Amino acid sequence: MNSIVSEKRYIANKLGVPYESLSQSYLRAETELATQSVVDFTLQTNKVLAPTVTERLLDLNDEFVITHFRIGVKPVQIDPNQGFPEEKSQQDTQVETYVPLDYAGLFGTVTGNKMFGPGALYNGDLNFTIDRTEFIPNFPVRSFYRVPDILNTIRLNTNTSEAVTAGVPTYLFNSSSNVEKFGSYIAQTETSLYGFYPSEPTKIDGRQTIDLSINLGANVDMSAIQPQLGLSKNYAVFEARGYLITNAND
Amino acid sequence: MNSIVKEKRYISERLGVPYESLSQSYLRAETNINIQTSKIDFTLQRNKATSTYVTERLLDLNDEFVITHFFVGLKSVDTSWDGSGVPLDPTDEQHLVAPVDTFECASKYFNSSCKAIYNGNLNFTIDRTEFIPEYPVSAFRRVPFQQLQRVFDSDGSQVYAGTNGFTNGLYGFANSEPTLINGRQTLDLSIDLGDSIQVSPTEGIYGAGFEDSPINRNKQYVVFEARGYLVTNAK
Repeated sequence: MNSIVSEKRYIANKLGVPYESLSQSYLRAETELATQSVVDFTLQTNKVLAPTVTERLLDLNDEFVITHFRIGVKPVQIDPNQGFPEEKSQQDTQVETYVPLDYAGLFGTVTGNKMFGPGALYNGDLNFTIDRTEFIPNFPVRSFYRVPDILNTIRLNTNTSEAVTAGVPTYLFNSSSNVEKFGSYIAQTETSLYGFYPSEPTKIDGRQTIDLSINLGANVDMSAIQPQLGLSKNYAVFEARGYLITNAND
Repeated sequence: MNSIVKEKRYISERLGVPYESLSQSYLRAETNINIQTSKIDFTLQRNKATSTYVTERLLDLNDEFVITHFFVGLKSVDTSWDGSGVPLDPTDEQHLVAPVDTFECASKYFNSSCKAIYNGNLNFTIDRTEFIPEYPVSAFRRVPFQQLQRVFDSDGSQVYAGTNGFTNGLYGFANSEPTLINGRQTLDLSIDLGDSIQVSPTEGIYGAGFEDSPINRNKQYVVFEARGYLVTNAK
């Protein structure tokens, strides 16, 4: 049969969870980035004071079996009418690592010729501890890095510093006076598990002590463009796919 | 079940490591190649490295690691972000932002001599026994469809656009026979280039007027990465 049936059979046999209790689901935790050396994620609802609207956390009485996991990045730009539209902002599997020196990239700040940004996440390592036992001691975040064949394209006038509104720029032609960029593509996402990495099926629940973080090893400025103006924010996103068991601890 | 379960089962049966002790993990060692050299050595164990880069992930004395995949790539760190053209020692932040690539992209500040590594061979000796006597480094070379592009502004200045493609989580990696190493063994890992090569010219060699020359302001590194399973405190 298909992969879902084989996964559920394996989990039922190996972890002792009734087959019929396993429902395809996901968890998603988000952390706003600033200048930091460790990025922590909180996976449980009862340990988060104010989750973002796009988070999907584990409730106190629920269990979840992780089969795949991913680290992504999510930029959110302010909308004058809506504040920060978290629900509309899409995750990405890569960041812009090389930009023109006069260009403030979506994922980084440019001060003079310096560019910092969430690109640093992809040289870090993910650590996952469950009830004080190291489930994943060090896992390379670079495993989640993906750059598709088709990238976002945008229109940007570099001479007038027109605001950047999306993704990685592609220069399509040079006009007589400015470098112009035009485009209408959206970055390609090839599969439903794009950017995910398989995991040993592992059960967690809403009452455990779960420590999940990315260790960068050094402080890095990963805040968004012009953070002092409050125009945008960057998030690191942890997403786990697998099977939810509701009210398992009743 | 999935590939992780299959690998862990095989390793457990074949190498006798308890299934529950195997945690998905990686090792990463880096070597600066801004020198004239015919051999590039990597140090995989923390107790044998005198100083480490922030992006390295080395094997601790009491740990074991089972290698299932391995990779050799290139990394270039911009050493003069202040625009002065004066080469500086790379900071931790610069190392963290610098990506690792699977080919020597000309538009990305790699000195062309970096290509030499792809004609070299990788040698891996464990406790004086040759585990990999000679493995072609060209096996790790990947040139993606989507590439970083060098374009010119109307005033003639160069700008860069796009990002090199990266199609999967093991992009550029080669499979390995699952092999157990530990923090106490004698591990010799190196790339043999066959001849002495100046991988990167001396900084500042091009003098006045060329301060922004990529080779004046970048340091290049060769990166070895192994994916597999960590066994902590195995000793």
